[in-house]
Amino acid sequence: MKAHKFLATGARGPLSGFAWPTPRGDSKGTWVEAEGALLQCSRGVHVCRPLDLAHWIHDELWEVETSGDEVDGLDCIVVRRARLVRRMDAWGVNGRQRFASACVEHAAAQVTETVADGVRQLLDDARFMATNGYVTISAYTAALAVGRIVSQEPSAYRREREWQSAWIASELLATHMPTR
Amino acid sequence: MRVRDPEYLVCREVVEFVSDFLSSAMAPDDHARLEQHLLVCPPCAEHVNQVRSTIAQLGTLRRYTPPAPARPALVELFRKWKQERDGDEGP
Repeated sequence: MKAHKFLATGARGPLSGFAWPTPRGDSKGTWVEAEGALLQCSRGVHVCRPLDLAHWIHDELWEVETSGDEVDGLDCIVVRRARLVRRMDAWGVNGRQRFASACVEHAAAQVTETVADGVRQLLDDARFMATNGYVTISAYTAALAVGRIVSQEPSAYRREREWQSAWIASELLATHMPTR
Repeated sequence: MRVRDPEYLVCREVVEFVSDFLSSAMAPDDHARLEQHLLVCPPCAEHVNQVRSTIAQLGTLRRYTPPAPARPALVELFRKWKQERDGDEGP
């Protein structure tokens, strides 16, 4: 199965520091495999489906190939084994900047004149961060602003994150975004 | 113990749950939410790294048993410190 994974610069796990084997020439990276029963956050290789992407934004975006058994996790899927196929160059400076701007504009379109000052402040913060290249926190703050609009339904934050994920999938990965 | 908001958590909760997080004692979904927070909050990520590093360093310390003659003095020292801290004059 094809999936994606955000990594820190140098193909490292953002939180674990794990150094992923990278592709060499025409060869894909070496398989990374988990042993024992798969368990979210504990055991298994964690990768993104298209709708999970916005929750795990980081420096590099990779296409990965997975195989074996798998279990659903919160905003991820846990698989038996995975290997890096290619780094997605579309997630470069320009792609990231376009994404951040799109997140801010999409959030701003939902902010009416009647929203609380706090929401407007969050949106201003998101715009400032996007302008200065802080893509991850900008997208998060934009979604937070939408989630704090009183008139929005309780799941507005997650819905906005799904919209952001769909944007990455369709605009940068040319991937069809399945609906829930 | 579970995080308060089912969608995302705040910095205070990272401080509250850091031990559970590092010992993998959190519910999987809460663990994932905390990881998501660390990705957008460098100060919290630094805090978690510092706690992780402290735990690792403490793990390298050798267990030391003080010589028997020193124990009464140590116990007395601890008692005095505790009294001063608690403002308790004792019996």
